[in-house]
Amino acid sequence: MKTAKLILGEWNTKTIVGVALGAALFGVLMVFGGITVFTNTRLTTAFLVPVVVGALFGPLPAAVSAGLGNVVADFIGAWGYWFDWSVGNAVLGFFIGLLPVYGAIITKGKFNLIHAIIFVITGFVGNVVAFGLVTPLVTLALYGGELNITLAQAWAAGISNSVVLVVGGLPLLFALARVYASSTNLTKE
Amino acid sequence: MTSRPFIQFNNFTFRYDSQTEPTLIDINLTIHEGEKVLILGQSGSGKSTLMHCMNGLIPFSYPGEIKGECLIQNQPSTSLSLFKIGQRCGSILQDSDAQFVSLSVGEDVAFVLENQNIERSIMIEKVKEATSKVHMSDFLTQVPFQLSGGQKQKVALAGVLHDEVEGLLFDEPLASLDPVSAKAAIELIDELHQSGKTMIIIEHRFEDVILKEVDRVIVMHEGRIVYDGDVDQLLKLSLCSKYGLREPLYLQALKTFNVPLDSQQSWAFLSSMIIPAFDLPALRPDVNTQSNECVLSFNHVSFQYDERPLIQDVSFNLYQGERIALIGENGAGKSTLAKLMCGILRPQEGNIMLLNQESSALSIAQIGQKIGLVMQNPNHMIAKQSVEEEILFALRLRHKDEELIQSKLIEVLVMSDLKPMRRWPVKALSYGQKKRLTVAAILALSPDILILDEPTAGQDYAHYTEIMSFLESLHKKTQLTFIFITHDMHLAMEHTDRALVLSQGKLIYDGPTFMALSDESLMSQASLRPTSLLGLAQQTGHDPATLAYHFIKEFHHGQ
Amino acid sequence: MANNTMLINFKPNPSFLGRLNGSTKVPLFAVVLTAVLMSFDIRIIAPILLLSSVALSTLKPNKTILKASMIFFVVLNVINIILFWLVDPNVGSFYLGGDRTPLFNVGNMVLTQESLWYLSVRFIKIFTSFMVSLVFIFSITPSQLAAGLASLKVPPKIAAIISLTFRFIPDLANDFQLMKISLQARGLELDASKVNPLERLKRNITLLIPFLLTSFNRVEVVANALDLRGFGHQKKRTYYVEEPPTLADKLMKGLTWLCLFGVMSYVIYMNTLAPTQDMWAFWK
Ligand SMILES: Nc1ncnc2c1ncn2[C@@H]1O[C@H](COP(=O)(O)OP(=O)(O)OP(=O)(O)O)[C@@H](O)[C@H]1O
Ligand SMILES: Nc1ncnc2c1ncn2[C@@H]1O[C@H](COP(=O)(O)OP(=O)(O)OP(=O)(O)O)[C@@H](O)[C@H]1O
Ligand SMILES: [Mg+2]
Ligand SMILES: [Mg+2]
Repeated sequence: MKTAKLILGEWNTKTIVGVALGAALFGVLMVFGGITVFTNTRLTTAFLVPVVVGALFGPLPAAVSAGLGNVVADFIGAWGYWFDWSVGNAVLGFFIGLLPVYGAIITKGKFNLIHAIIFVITGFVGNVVAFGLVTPLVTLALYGGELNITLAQAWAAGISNSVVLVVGGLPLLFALARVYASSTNLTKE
Repeated sequence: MTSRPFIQFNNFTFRYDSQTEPTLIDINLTIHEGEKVLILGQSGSGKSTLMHCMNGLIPFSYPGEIKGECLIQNQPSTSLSLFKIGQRCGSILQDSDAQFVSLSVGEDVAFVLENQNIERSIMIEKVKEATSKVHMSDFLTQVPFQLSGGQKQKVALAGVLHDEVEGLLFDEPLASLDPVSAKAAIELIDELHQSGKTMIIIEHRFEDVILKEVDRVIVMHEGRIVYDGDVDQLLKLSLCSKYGLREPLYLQALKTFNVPLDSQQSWAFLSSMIIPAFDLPALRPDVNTQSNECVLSFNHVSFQYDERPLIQDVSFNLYQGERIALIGENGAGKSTLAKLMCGILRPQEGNIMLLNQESSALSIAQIGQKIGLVMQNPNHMIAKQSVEEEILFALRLRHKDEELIQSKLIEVLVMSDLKPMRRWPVKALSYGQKKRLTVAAILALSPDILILDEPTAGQDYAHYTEIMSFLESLHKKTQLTFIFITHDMHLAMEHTDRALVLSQGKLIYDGPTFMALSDESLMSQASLRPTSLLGLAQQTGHDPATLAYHFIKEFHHGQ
Repeated sequence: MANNTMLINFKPNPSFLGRLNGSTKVPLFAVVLTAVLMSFDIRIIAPILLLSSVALSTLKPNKTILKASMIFFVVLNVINIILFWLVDPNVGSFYLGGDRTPLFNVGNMVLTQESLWYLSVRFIKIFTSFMVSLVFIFSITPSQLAAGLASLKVPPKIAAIISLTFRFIPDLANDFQLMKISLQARGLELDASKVNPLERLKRNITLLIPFLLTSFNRVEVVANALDLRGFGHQKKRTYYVEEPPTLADKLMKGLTWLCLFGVMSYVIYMNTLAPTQDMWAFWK
């Protein structure tokens, strides 16, 4: 039961605001905060956003903010709608956001080396599931055909996302945990 | 009193989860239905925290430990929900920026009504009415980031005007309003009170609030209630100076001139006071020798954001070591002018010279070496997560010597009274403390020219005096040039020599500050209001300029 | 500032489409976009492309923004199409009943008539979906979008997330700009003429992490402001921006139903009566 709650998150006003903020950040970063490495694939800093949303609110909120964030990016970037990728991003967001489920309670300042390793592994698995499996399936369903090209793009996306998650995500998580750890037992000196 | 209690605290103590010490200590307070109560207290004394207990944010949003009880209409607040409490009392938060939750002014004012599922035709009418009361009906489609600080505050105010609730809580509703708007806001609040609502107002601008009668004043100090009574008694017991609050100016002046006051009469309304005659020496203003180097000059500068013309053909020179006040109504373009000075915005016409260099050739960072700007909204400046990191960030970019860095850090921490909280995360600071942090972070860089956009908004007297005396000492030591953007006319008079008055983007006055503030037609043109010193002068038959001049001089001397 | 480079409108467009209600535009858009996404039939796509071009011109969008996103879109998708062909030169045959009519050779690869047709239709299809969404973006404000979604019975929490998302975008862009400026003014040099691009990129990225953290600091305050003003407690809410439907609204609603009917019958037909039918081509 507790795990279920951890996965679904508590959908109160704070979560709603957090998810919306996350989606907005994701969208803006996807459009303005990256460089294109392959068609439909950008080395984007956007995946740092579900890291924070996941740490604060859990996996489902992280998934929603990544998926919606991508739709928003399609909207403001005006490069057409790629719902297959939005779904893929949502799935990856979910995996990234698993943090509290395996005990990395960032809001209590808990994030250690083991959590970091699990984070990297789930990030990797998430990329494989999201872009190796889910995105191609949705592509097939929505746009029909051409798995080859989507798979090639998936590889590019998976690699660039993994790089961003390790290079940017880990320091971000340690920083976040430190901020929360230093926000307890405040006394005036 | 016969009426029923609206909010009641019994032996109430509250500690934020992240704190080791309680923020509110042993509060006993009853506010009755239909009362109008003013809460005073230094920055960080727990005023906003107390308000959060009244509107349910504590315990529903801020986790913490509660001892004792807080009753809202005789029901413990913990047994209600945020929504239920919200139906009884509406509130406007201190941070008017965060309060703005919709995409345009009209929608934001309508937000409460939308949530109540009110029919649109009724809603439109109510929004029109509320916005016209705060003179914002021309801005209905404006997006939040296109509004000036004061305009945002007006929108927040309009948002609660049509609320069908029994009580209203205001956390510093006047902080960034110009004097005329502040007076209008106080009249509005009074109107609501007359219609039977309970009103609770937190404000540092004591004198502005008591323009209209309040039933009771509560003074908070370090988390405790130290005074609970009427205005008159507070003034007569001289509690203001004890708790670091500003007394009304006319009283300060009368005390400075050693005028004996009759304690039988009320001191709360200047107009009804009988004041014995007193003498003042003739006016002998200092001759200002302006032989210093010109550090900044604007030549026919014009700027606009969209199709509305804003800054129009503004020219002036600033000389080293000058102390300038930049004043004008909400939306006049003061913050815009400050951004032009720092190169954040660039003029569309005309040019700006900084120390004989074209400012257009310099990057923001290069201009930043010379000019320090403390922005109006602290949330726009703070980039780091803790107090110390925020101050150290730029210091480390500028200096290599760790010893120098540490000594600067300590110096500004002491000045801003943030030393005890140096390791705290920014999130745990009160609004006023955040604002002081931004001032400290800029002062640590010792700029040649310093622009402070409303440094005293949300600050109490003791803290702002501290900041001002630090600035004065820098001014004496290093010939610092500083520019205050302020709505506090007395602050302008007390600490600056020269005033630039901006009205609807045009520079309408450039000259000595105290002359500006005794020029009534100028004042009304720029939505300014003279301080109560003018009233005092009129009542005692003195020349306003002479009175102001001697007051400031003697007062400084006395300190 | 950054908000100029974005396509979102915050003030209603004065044209015919702009003045329609959110609850008219959102369903219309949803149906038309579905039609484009579902079909590979140029006979359906081409008229939509034509209509949306006309609609776009009535909206008088900002030319420079439009041009920039057009160029970006076309380049991106042409590369995509070429890649498709490189990966599988015979894609077209699969959809057109296995015929293979070579047109000419490129290097040692063959471009077939079928592949050319298929890829062109695909490009036009994607381009049409792009045009449709441009029309949508230029004609709607985020508040209308929220109202429109609510009228489609999207759960209020989701509608709220979406409208808050759009509420945050200009603020975030603006805040990022301001934070950058405030750090620049305190000595962080980011000026293009003063630092080399790589260093600038590095500095911009080091700005990003603190920006993400500070942005999330506001969640608490915004949530409080929402809660205090009675957010989300009523099942239903009204919308300040949603005007009473005009004749135009009613007409467009009717049209939407008609389109919906068309799309539905097309989908049913394709899936039941003619599941194996090939793509339409002018020579068949
Ligand atoms: N969310 C929070 N978590 C932890 N501590 C907090 C929090 N909010 C405020 N505090 C602390 O509680 C004390 C009182 O803060 P509060 O905001 O009530 O002050 P205030 O009287 O409203 O001050 P100001 O006039 O500056 O707004 C401060 O020392 C502050 O650091
Ligand atoms: N980014 C922007 N885009 C468009 N308009 C803006 C923008 N920023 C400010 N304005 C408008 O410009 C005018 C001047 O704003 P500014 O912030 O300079 O006023 P101000 O004199 O500082 O007022 P206040 O005393 O309320 O802070 C206002 O009418 C405001 O609505
Ligand atoms: Mg406060
Ligand atoms: Mg301003």
